[in-house]
Amino acid sequence: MKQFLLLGVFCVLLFGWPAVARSAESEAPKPGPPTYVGSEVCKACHPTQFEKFSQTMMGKIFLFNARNEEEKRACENCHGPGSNHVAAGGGRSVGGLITFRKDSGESAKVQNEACLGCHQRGVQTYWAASPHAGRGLSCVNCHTIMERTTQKQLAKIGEKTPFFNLRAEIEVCGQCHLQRQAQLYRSSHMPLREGKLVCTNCHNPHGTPNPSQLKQASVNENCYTCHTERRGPFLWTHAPAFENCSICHEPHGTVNDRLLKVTDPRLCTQCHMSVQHPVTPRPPTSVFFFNRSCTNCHSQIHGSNHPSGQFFQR
Amino acid sequence: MTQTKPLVALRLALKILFLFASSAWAQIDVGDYTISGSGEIGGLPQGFKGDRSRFEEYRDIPETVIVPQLQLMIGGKKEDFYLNFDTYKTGLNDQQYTLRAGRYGLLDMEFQWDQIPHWFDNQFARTPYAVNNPGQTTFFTLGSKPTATTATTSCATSPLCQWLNGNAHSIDLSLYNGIARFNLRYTPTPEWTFTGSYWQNHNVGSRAFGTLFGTSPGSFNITELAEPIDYQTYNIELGGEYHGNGWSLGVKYNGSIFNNLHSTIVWDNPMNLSNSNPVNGALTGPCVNSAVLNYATGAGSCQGRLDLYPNNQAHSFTITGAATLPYKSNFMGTVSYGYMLQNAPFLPFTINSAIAQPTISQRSLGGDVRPLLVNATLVNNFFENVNLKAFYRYYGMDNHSTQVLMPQGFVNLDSVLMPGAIQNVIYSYAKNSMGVEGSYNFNRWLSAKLNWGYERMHRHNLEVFNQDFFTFGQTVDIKPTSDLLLRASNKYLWGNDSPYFYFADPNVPVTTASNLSRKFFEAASRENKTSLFAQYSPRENLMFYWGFEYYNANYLFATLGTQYDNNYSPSVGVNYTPFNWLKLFANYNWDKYTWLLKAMDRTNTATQTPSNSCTPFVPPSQNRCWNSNGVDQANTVSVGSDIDLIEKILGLRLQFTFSNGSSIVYGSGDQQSTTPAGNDPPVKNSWYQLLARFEYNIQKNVALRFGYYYNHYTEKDFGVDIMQQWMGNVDVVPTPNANTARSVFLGDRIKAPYTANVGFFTVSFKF
Repeated sequence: MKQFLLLGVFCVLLFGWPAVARSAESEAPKPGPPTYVGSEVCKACHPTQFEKFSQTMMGKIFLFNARNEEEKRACENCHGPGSNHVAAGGGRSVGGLITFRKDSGESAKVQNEACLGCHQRGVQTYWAASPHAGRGLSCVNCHTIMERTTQKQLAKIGEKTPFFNLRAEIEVCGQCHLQRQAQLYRSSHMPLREGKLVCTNCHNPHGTPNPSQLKQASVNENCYTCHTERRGPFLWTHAPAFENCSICHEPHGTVNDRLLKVTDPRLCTQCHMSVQHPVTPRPPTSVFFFNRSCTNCHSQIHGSNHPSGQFFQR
Repeated sequence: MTQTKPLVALRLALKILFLFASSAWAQIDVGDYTISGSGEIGGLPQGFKGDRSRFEEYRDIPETVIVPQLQLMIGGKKEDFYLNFDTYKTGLNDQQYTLRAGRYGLLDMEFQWDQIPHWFDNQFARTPYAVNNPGQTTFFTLGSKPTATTATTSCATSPLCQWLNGNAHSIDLSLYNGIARFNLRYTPTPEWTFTGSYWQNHNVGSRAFGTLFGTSPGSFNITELAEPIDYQTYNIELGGEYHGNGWSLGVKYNGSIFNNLHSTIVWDNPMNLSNSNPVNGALTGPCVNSAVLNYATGAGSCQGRLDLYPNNQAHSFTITGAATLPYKSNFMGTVSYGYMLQNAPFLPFTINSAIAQPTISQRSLGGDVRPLLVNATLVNNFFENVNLKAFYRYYGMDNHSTQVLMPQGFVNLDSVLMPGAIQNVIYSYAKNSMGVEGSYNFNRWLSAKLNWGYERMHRHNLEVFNQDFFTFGQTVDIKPTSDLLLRASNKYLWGNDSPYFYFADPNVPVTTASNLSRKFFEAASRENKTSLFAQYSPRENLMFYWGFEYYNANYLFATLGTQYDNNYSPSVGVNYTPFNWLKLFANYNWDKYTWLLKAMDRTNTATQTPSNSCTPFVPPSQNRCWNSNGVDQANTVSVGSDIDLIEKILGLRLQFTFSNGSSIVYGSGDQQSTTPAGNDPPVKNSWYQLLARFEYNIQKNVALRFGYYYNHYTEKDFGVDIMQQWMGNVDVVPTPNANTARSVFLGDRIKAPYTANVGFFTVSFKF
């Protein structure tokens, strides 16, 4: 009798327990796919962030001037649908939202997809092929989204009060491009540290089909956007100047005059090494050396349109 | 008692301070709009010593009342329209104004006016010329001439030097660049975007510019002038883009017109004494041209005429498309075709009426260069952790300019006819490039990439017709935790050894491939570029970063010419916030650039070659070969702190930046010469900047900023420091140079030192 009783308890335990467990599970169902809850729900718990975001260009569009259903989603347009996050009572990394904090653990690819849904056009057309994308940079490495900073929503705020003219772009790019930032302080430089130019006057960090992410198709075309007088073409062309300005010049800054890579006259001797005065070494007291060296005479060095300008002296 | 401007500014600022020190100031509501803004006003008392043009090279820091910034923002209460107006350094030479207005999500317009000064020299430059520019031609005229053309080594006995001392007057060398921009962006729907941009640039001023007369090389006299600059550039860009579901297509037009309002200069020759009194140099009548240059008698060309940059224009049309393809692929493509045109009429060969004008086949160049860009890029990440990229790119500068024939030669420096037919050289080039790249994410924190590329460079009418380049690169990115990042990349390039046709030397047959001397950018090369970067944040308030850039290029198989150049650039920095109220930062960069050049002093390339003039068996007294190597170094340091002395009330920013550089050129060899190669005097410069700025928040909307700015610069450059108007007593090694003794320079010293001590105080307010 006792054996049958024990066998019966065993059978109940063996076959009955899963049923009990299934019953328990059905009382606490798994969360389903998240759905959109609307930005007002987000605002209820995140009023500070909401207020700051509402002051940005994107915030003004999403929250007050949405043009389609996507934009109307506002917060959830970037962070993803928030129903699971809300249902779980909120909290960091709760509910499967896409987050953009440095320590979020989110991959750059996932973070960028949120931005590229709208912004893979115009200047960002070549992002997928860009060196920055290839190195795993995320948009939020350079841009701040949640509060108003600069016109381009850069992660740093430039200061334009007296004597502090560095602009935010230079600070942002300089986080990684340390050598280029240091070059701005060379004695021969373009007016970047004075706040008159920024990196994106020449480069498009989002990617271009051009070398060094230049905005124009070549180094020369890039330089010609400001230095249009040197565009020519000229009757007498100085071949290296026609081919590439950076054969002679270093645009980020140098210790030599006129952004020259190598001090003159040696700069010219690098190519002009055949005969006569270009290859005769001169003392520093020589007219071939002091003042502007070779361009004391050959002043039209970028090209001449004069019939007698074969040697760039007319 | 007369009050200084800064004192007036202080009193004004204090009045403004008390006026605004009211918590009643806040955003203003006007009907359906809200108005907010900010402003800052103050003064800059300063003590200054040295070269102001160097201190204010690209900026304007006067001792006066300043308005560093003003900002006005008007927004619709419905959050639909906006208008922002910003000014920066109102009323000063480097002022900037920006007006941005639009409707959110629909239209954005921006107007901007920006001024960029560029000072060269306002202290040392002097010229004996009077300048008159009634139109396209600028005339540099002399009211008198030296009494003789005697070339001596002493100013006291040099008629030219004495004349300069008595007749040269000071001039400023500077440029002023005024830029007006209008940008428009119209997005009627999220799919369509139209952009327009108009940009006008007016660059005016003068800068030093060398001209000369004579039979250079040989006998010549330099007359350095202040080149008149009056450039006007007009640019327009119009574009439209449609962004569909998984694809986009954009078209764009760029147009640019450059006008030079001073395209020709004519200047008097101080060494033509045909119309001057030999006793006092006064002008006695019209100048007489001579076809024979004779410094002893003061005969030659009366004037010189030179063609400055001609008007030109450029147009380009660009189509850019992108599409999402199956298997997680993305295609991006661009085609751009353009025209660079220039057709200004040629000046005659010479202004010297005594020399017959040679003939020329064209009256203008018909300059027509057509840049063409074709790019196709494909990116694929079908496999979860693999990213593949392939691209093809063609870029060509196809030169359709006219071949201009000058069968009778040309006139050299308005002084002598150089017979012998010549013609211009039509340069073109084209690059075909292609490459593939593959990256793999091993896991969340480790990814690596390999890339391979090929480029063929084709040049027309230059020494190397075709040259092939191969590149191979690797990158590794390691991010094991959120506080540690390591990046490394390396790219190796090799350019092959292509036949080199030495056009420049008529003694070397054109068809002979020559390795004697190669222009380095056409030489076979091996280049290496390595970049390392690390960032470590052991704690949230502490971050270290390091960087190292290395570049090396070896130019092979060239007996003469550039042999190599190298660049090393390590950097290190730290940001530390030990307390909520204290932030510290510091960074340092060292940069070194070196190069080696081999050259040979020779007048005949056929008989004087490295094989017979540079070997160890050649006696030093006959040795023509020489080397030169250069070392450029720079150190840049920046340290600083932001301190909340009293939280939200009083803050202090301290920052010290220091940069020094040097350029040293060594030389040795050429023992047969009277001027053998030697070391050049080093060029050294240093720049210091110290800023100590307090910000005192008097009220929520009012802050007082005051502090001290120190800026100091020194430079030693022998070639510039010695400059005067007359250099006849300088260029005397190995023998007095009569050409230099007959030359006139501006004497501008563009690198003079300065020390600036500037105090500043401003009141900033917000509403």
